[in-house]
Amino acid sequence: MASISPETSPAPWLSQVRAVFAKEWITEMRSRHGIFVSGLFGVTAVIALVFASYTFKPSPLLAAGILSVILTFSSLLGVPRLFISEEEQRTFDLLMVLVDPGPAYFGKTLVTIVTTALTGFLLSLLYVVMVGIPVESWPLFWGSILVLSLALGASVSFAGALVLGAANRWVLAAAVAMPFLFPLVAMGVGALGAAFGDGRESDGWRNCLAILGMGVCLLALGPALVPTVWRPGSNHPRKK
Amino acid sequence: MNFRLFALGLLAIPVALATFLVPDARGFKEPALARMIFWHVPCALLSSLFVLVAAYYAVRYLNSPKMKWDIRVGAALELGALSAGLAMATGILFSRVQWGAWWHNDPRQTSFLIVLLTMLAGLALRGALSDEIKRASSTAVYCVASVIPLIFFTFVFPRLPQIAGNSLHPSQTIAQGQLDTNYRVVLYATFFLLFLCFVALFRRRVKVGEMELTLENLNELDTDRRRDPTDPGVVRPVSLPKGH
Repeated sequence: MASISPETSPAPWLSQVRAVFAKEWITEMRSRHGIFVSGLFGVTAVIALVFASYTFKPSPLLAAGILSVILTFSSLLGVPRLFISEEEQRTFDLLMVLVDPGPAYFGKTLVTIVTTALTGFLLSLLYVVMVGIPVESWPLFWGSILVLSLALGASVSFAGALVLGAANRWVLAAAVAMPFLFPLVAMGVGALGAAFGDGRESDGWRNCLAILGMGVCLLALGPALVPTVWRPGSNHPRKK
Repeated sequence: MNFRLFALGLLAIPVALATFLVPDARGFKEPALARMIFWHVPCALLSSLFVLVAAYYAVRYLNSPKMKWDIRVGAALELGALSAGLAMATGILFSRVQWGAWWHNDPRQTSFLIVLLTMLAGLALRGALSDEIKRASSTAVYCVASVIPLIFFTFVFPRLPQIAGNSLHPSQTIAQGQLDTNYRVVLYATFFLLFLCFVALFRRRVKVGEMELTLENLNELDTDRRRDPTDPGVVRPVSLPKGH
């Protein structure tokens, strides 16, 4: 873990990101709260679907839609915690003393993406096995899950970072994340649907590319914009 | 009376009359009620316009954080939500009258509902933050970032080949000149009228916001003046017994 302290000159950007990533990862692995919440929600949703679909088998497109929705809501449940809990534990100001807002945001987002990807991979596998959906293209299936996890993690982190300090921030995080999540669900259905055999594989890869583009956009926008929200008073001539 | 508002009122009369005087449209279940598009389409366009206006002022706020930009961002969001709400309401009525149900699972209806919800989420974010500077910066960042999905849902998603084919909404009727000349002229006129109305509302809302800000500043100044500099506040003077 890179050492950083307020007395020394600011550490390089990447060192700060590494330090925040390590801190968040160790905290997450100690409690596993986020992974458990997301995972349990996903498992419950899959089991509920298995119960509901005894008498019929979902079509590829419907199966893709349900999986996209499960992944979206499971990320929405567990992920903004990384940002919001920091404020609830009153350690956010201390973090801002030690690292710059940009690297802090990026480090947290990376942990979010990794945990979303982990739960995403496990849930997708469970879903395919339990619901019994035949996968026509495994590379496209895993590729879709990977890019969807990246984009979902980036979107939910962005929303979580925006609502810090707000009343009802858990509910608000979901509402603010919504405009970024709906396009992902729409494109995720296209990509996963193609993986399950609905439509051409090339169209599925095109959807993957669009999801990746949106994820990268949010990932790049976040560190540039979020510091304005986290340190709003630094260059603000109050009320002009 | 304000001359501009008077002129706007005068303009509204012939435009409103024209919407009734054009002949009934052909090919509709209820031809007389097809006139609803005169209000529905401009409201939808204006809501998209206000999204862009909010994003423009949000960028200006991020460049130089002054509260006057934040007031404009808030006004644009409010009026965008209002016009989107009007577009939804007229759209739902049209759907009931012409297509037989209040709500069809139409991609364009759903995507526009998401646009409306996005603006409402922006307003919810504004309402949830009590610190005005934090509120201003959070809203600005949200408005800038939400432009990408809003453009996707307003302009890209409804025109995707697989979506456009399944939608009840005609996607290129106006752009390809398939609309009757009378209808086109009246549609442009109502758009112009509504545009002027919303610009007037926007200016009024900005003025109200600026007056609120001035009043707040005056109140703070007044509180500062009334405060006695020698007053120790809540701290009670304590004297220690002699010998300590």
